[in-house]
Amino acid sequence: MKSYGRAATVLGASAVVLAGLVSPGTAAAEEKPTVRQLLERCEQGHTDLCEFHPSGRPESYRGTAELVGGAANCSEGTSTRIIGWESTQTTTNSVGVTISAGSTLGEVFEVGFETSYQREWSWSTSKSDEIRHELGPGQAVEIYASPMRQKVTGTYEMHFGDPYYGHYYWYVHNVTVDGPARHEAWFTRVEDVDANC
Amino acid sequence: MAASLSVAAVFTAGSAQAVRAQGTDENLRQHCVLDVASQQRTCYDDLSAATGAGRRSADTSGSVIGATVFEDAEYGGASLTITVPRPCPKNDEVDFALDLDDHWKNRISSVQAWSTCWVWLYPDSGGRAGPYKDGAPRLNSGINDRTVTVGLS
Repeated sequence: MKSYGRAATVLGASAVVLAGLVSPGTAAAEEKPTVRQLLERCEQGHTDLCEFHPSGRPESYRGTAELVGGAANCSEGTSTRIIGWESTQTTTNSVGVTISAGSTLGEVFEVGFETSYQREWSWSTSKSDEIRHELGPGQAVEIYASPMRQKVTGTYEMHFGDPYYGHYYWYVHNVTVDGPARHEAWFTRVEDVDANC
Repeated sequence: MAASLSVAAVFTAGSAQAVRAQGTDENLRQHCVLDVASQQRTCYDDLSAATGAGRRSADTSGSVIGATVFEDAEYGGASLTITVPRPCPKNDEVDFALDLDDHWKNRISSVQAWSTCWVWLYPDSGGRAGPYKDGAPRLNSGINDRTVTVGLS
């Protein structure tokens, strides 16, 4: 649960950051680090404690339908096609910093999620399937697939052995991590389109 | 949108500071922050504002979040965020204790431990449940909706 960070990452924005306990004798603590700076301290192991605390329940929702395959029949007769498709879903976040399975921030998030909800987080998932479809002459179809996803919003809590920007404790709020839901069925639909033969 | 008011009686029992959270119109707001040191309780309309505000008050009063308790399972429903003057010192003692007001008595169904604190839940019938060292999304039937005092160690 307590993590002592490592590697590096990219830029972030939209989260709210607020300070914690003021160090003795520290005066001008008005200047604040950026979200990126704070999360990088965790990522690089420069914190005494780094934890993720979810706020509320995970939110499940149907992800955006993506074009995953299709077929066209440009012959003069009806044709039965077996159309294979494959799609991969990954985890994203709201702060633009890398929070992934291989990063410290990802590990911290994963531990926070799993201890909070007592189930595993799925960083990515791939699905492949095939659809049998009868196509008339000059007919074409496209296949769209959408997975179930889940998102969790929470706070990264960080403790520092020495004051960082005048404070021992920092919090990065409203970090939303969004990934594929585990063991959920994908929704597929087949749309007729111009064959352009 | 926030509103503050003082919390009633503070007393010391052993090494623990006990604060009683009073029920008022503040309970109409679903997410409250109770600062053990300043005895201030501030309530908000949403949880992220409450936990964010916890830090804002921490900035000036020198406190840190010790725990958040929730009305429903999986951290749902109303919440009470408890801030303490410092991280729990891990001295094998319950360093902070909060006697819940009538609004919160027998209502807690999930808890989150923050900072270095562990959470203990005390029912009216005696004994205690815990320590909860991380998150507890579903309290077991022995303590669910039966907590009258929250301890942090």
